Amino acid sequence: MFRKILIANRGEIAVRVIRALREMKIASVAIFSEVDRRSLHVQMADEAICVGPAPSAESYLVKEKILAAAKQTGAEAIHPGYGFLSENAAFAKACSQAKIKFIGPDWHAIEQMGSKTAARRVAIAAGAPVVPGSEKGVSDPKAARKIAAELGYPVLLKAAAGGGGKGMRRVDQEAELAAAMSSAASEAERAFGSGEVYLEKLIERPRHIEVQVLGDEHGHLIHLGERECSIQRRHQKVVEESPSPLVLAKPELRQQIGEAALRIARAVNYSNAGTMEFLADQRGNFYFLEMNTRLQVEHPVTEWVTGIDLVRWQIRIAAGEPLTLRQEDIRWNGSAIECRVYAEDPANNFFPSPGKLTQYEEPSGPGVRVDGGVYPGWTVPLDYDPLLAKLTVWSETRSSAIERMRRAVAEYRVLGIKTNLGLFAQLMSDAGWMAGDLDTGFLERFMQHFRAEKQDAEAMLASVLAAAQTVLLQTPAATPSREPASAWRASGRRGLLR
Amino acid sequence: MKLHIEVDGESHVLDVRGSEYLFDGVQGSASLEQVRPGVFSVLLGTKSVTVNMAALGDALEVLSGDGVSHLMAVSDTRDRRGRADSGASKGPAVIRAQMPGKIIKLLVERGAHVEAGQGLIVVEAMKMQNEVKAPKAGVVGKIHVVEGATVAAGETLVVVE
Repeated sequence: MFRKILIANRGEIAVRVIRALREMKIASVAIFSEVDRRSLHVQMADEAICVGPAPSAESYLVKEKILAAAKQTGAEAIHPGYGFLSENAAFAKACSQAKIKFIGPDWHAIEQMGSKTAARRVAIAAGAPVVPGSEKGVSDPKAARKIAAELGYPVLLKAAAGGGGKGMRRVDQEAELAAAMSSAASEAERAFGSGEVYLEKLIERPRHIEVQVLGDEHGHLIHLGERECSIQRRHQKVVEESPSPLVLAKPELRQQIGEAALRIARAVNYSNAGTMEFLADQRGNFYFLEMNTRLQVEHPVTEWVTGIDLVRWQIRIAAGEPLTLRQEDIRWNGSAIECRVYAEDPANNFFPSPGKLTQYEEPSGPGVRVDGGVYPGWTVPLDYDPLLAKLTVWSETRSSAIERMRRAVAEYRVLGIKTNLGLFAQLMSDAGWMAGDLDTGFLERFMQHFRAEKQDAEAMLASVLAAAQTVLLQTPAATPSREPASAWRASGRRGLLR
Repeated sequence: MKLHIEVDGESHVLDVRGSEYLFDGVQGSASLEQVRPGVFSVLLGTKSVTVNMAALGDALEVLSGDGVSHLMAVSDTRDRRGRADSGASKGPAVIRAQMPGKIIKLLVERGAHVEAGQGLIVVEAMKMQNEVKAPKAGVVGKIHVVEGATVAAGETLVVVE
């Protein structure tokens, strides 16, 4: 086993990995940028080393600085977390060349699954379902009619050269196809300089369901079931859960989608933790989208329901240990839900809200887990993803887990910045959410009638009385404080790697 | 003691005498304990409410459990000479910056009539532009900022009377 591991990340995921390392009696090395000197992961690690200024392109993303930090501290392995360099094949390769173990899959697998089109080819060859489509551009309306008839309406026209909805058209019947093709092509031409469009089967009200896989370096692979991540804003997940409500309705789906994920993983000799993302329709047909070759943000929901510590297994697998869990040993128990607590204002188009956490209290009690990366008094920097913490709950059933989440959200107290906790408070009482009637457009529709709720009269009265008392007594909370200039900044710079 | 309290830009009047209060004309008694800095335990009769509070600029940010914080400013009514002692939501609305940012554009001038929800000022933070809107219909009063200025969280931007 390793004696010392460097975590090439920050925030809550760095804290999560440090906690696993401490349990395993492995020394931890944190890296940090100049604005992160006071961050929680630096305080919790056994050693910490500055890797540059705030912009991640000059710190957390600089491979050479991170490898130098590992060498300087004698770290034998690097855990990349998620984001930053976690899916960078060149970094994984550089680690291997520097004789430092990259905690993740082999760099070949990262490279192979890194391209969506290459991953799609792997999935097709492995016999896993993908969203049916023409794959190549179609310009002849006659050929398009033939393909569309094979796919079955409705179909989606997409620009081959780009994304973001430009050049995208929904076509419900053959009579609309030719006109939609010419308008989509001219829009794509204007947006991307190429009018090439292709056809894809339209999945109505798709759900985002993904499968956790785990494999050792000796060819043994298992899946740990699914997570449903259909609650998204701007294609970013906000709430995740396991089991998926669709699996609760169709229990056979878990094995089907799990086996499809394993076929793809085997095709690239995958090892360590990874996730296959699928689109599913409301009937339970599913189609492979892409693979994330790393630990997922939402891994805690899988840990809750399976009782398996994914981060510890990542480290044991990287150390060459065999995965001693067999597929038939995996049991799924109860229901887990995760809410990603972001520094942002949901009542204002999810506008980011950096700043100082003047008050910060996390919930606790039965079935509550908080993976946090912040503390009271910490200033959330402008420079990185505004994730404060992941609030995860577990209970015997989905409905009792929702009740538990509602209780935990009410216990969570954050002041100084805006958060999306008010959104979760309302979402947990939404009839559609409670029924598990989800799709990736759910949150967008929910937001159309979302308003920051007026305080109830008693809460308002209590707040007003407390505010008045604060001002009358001139208590410290009423006195604006100015942050003194940091005397330590100079010493932080001295420790910077050149 | 009679106090004027602005909650999210709306005006309220509170009169406190010991544990007795009169809030927007409604009378009652309450027990308040500051249990630790910035945290109050409030008992309204037997109803228990925990209130968290922190300074934000020259205002207070107050939270009581629904995940949404409210901006409050407390002033002694004697400081407000020349203004009618109005009831709830009739007084001037003071619009403050929700976060640090830069003033990109002023969309209104002093004296202009505005509707509730109408854009007043465009503020930029974290490379995103955000329109600050009027919380109520009225007349634009003093504008405290100029285009290009940087503002701190809680700083007064404009008053709608």
